[in-house]
Amino acid sequence: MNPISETHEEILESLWKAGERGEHGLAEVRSSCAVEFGENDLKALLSNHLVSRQGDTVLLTEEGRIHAEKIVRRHRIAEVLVTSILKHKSGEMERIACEVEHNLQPEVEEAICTLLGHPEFCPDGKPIPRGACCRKRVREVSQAVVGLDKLNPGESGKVTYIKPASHAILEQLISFGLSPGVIVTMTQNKPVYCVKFEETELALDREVVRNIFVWKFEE
Amino acid sequence: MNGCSGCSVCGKGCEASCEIPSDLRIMGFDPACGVVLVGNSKVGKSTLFHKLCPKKAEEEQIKSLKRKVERGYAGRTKTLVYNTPGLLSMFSRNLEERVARDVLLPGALADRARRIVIVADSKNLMRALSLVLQFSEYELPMLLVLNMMDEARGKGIHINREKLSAILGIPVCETVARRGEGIGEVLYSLDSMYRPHAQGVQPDDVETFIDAVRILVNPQHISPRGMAIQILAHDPGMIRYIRTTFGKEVLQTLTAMADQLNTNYSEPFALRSVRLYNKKAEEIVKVVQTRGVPEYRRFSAKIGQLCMTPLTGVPIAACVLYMMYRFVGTLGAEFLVDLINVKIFGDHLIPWLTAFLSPLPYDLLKDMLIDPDFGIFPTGIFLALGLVTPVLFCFYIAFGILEDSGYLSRLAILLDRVFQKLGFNGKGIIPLTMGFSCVTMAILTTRVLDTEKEKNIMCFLLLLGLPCAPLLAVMLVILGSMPVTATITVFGLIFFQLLVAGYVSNKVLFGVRSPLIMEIQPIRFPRMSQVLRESTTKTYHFIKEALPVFVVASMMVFLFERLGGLEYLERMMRPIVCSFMGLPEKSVQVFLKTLIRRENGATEIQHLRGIYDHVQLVVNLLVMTFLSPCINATLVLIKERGFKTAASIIISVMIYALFIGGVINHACRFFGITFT
Repeated sequence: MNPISETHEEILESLWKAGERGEHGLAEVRSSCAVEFGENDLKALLSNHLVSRQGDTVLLTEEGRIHAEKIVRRHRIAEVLVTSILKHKSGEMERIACEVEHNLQPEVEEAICTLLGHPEFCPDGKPIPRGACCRKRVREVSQAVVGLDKLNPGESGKVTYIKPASHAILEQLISFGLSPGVIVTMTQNKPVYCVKFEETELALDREVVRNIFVWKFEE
Repeated sequence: MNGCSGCSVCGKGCEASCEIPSDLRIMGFDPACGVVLVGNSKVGKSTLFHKLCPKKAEEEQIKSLKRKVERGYAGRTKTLVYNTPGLLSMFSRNLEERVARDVLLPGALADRARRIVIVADSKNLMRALSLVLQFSEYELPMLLVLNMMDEARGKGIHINREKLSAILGIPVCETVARRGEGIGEVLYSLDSMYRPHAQGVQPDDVETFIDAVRILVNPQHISPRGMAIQILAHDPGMIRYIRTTFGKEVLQTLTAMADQLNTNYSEPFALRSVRLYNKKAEEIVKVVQTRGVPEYRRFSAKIGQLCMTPLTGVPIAACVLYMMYRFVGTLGAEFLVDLINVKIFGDHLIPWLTAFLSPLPYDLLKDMLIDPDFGIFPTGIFLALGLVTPVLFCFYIAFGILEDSGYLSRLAILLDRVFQKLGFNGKGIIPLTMGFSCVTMAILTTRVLDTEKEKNIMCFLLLLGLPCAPLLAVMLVILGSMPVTATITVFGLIFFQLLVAGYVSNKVLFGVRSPLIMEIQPIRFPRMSQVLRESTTKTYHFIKEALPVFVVASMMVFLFERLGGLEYLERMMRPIVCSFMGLPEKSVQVFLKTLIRRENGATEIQHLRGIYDHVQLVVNLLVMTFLSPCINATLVLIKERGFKTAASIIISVMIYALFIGGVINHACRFFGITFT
């Protein structure tokens, strides 16, 4: 099969996202798509068996769904990367993510995903489709990002991602000011984990700590 | 306040947004309305409250919440100030934390609270600003108090408060409430509070929903903004308010719209919003705060650390507990009780009173008042004041010191692993230690726990195993005259069965334990004046509440005895009390009074101790500790946990207590242990 053009990737992406909202109308897809597209583009996708169409309703085929999922995944991972590590403003986030989604190599994508601690949601709160690395729970790329529980007392790191094991816990942590980008220091790990960040010191159970991923600072 | 050139936060022209328009002063501002103090926990709200309201504070019932809130008059004015429990965010689910937003609902308080003072720990500006932004959704006049400025300066933190005030659109004061610095300015600023600038934190769809609420409901007594936000967050207080004020249909329409909006996101509204508010708060912090070189306070930090590490923490904890025991046990239960109960009451007041009342014509009346076994004065008032009050007061001081110094949270860390086995986390230390003063109050503090399972287990343990301060006082007095093996047996058994009961109920009950997420307070020297003041207030409340019950209980038992009921009951209970538990018949009196108020029974056993032998005393003390949910505790338990849960807890506790009493009795007699 021919490589898919960027425009076609954009169409697949907006079809996927529309599906997320439970909508399949052509007008809906057209309005939310980042690029303009015409009948020819749809025909090309039809002939590649990526979409099926009935009147005004356009649906992804199984093959199209797999493609679209990858694009969305790359886009949303890029969003997490840009906001939590590179600290760009949200306007730039969208622009960079849009570029990255078309050019990211699968290995790099996996590495970034692992680095970020296999994020499940993008900064806008939308789910990130799981990749092979997430399912295998790959923990290491270069040891740079680790679970907070892996820090020894005295070591520090920058929070990259907090896995929302429960929304209530995440809400509490965030209200305490513990969110991606914050630099934390482990002060002790027995009998409970005690972490310090800014002017706050928290005592946390293991089940909370291991869902917090940090970019460990070298000594 | 003249211009912050290049204000990057508001992003608009400075003149338009940073100058405070004078008409804002008038909008929604009513100098007669009450002020609510809101803030994260441990930021010095209560200290500030007592400095602002030097006159005696009182409590007011919140109508919707079955809970009381502290209030007082600011300075010499007629402005009411309400003190609320610390909270993490405007959306916290915790019952305790809900108070701060529930008091803002119309009708919650007698005098409408329509002004908000956010109290900040200046070291943690971001969290405070996030709260300011959250509460600004209520569109009420606000004031920000940057408290603990001394500690912030010590950390090298400088806050440009003119700029902060311009960005937020509300006055900002700096205080060190502990030392009374800046209080005058706060009092002055209470008269010039403004509605904060809109910061545009919420996304467009939420703004649309707010508009919809404005058009559909157009509430007169609360801001549609605050209302809309709390509907989206499913705040139970707001939902109840809408249902009672605007009817079921309106509520259904609004919640349906809110649910529709929320389906666009995979994360709940509260979580999304806290992120947004925090982000905005961080942006503001970047503009107004600079950090210099901190002066480290290594010494206190080092001590704090030593208390948390098991190797040093456990011996320290043992020392602290021993000191507490000496303070409450020796100073309170021995010295003070001896002084007040024996010397003042026993040697002087009772003989004097007996002489004074002897001319009374009716013997029944005389006996009722002054009979040494059943009279209201000897067994009611004097025992309450002479035996219970001094011990309770000492306990409150000891507990206050532990709490205020920041030691309690370190104890929670040390005990977290043990508590996990019992089905709750380290935060359980608060109700557990409170249980040693008054089980009823401890049941109320179970609200700090997060899940139903944790609360149920904690209530069970509190009712089952904890001797409350008055009982403890009597125990200490009685056990003090016996060999130390008796003390070890009694307290060893109490702690052992606490562990067993907790462990078993953790295995048996359904539900989950919430993980520990707790802020560790920096360790510091306790503020004795505040500790003493709070202990006095608590003791006063105790006397006010307990004394009438003591009097009524004594009177009832007296009449019951005169009518022959006591004798009948003693006969009825003989198989259990005498044969199974090996106690004297009279101990039925003790149990009877125990059921009315625990400390009442405790004083009764002290009164009757002459007829007991040592084994009987040990058995009776243990059974009392286990058996006795007093009437207050029972009522509070039903209110907090519901009738079904309460009934099952109480019934299992009673059966268990009688069983244990029998087992201990027979074991001691069998092995020939006499505690002599």
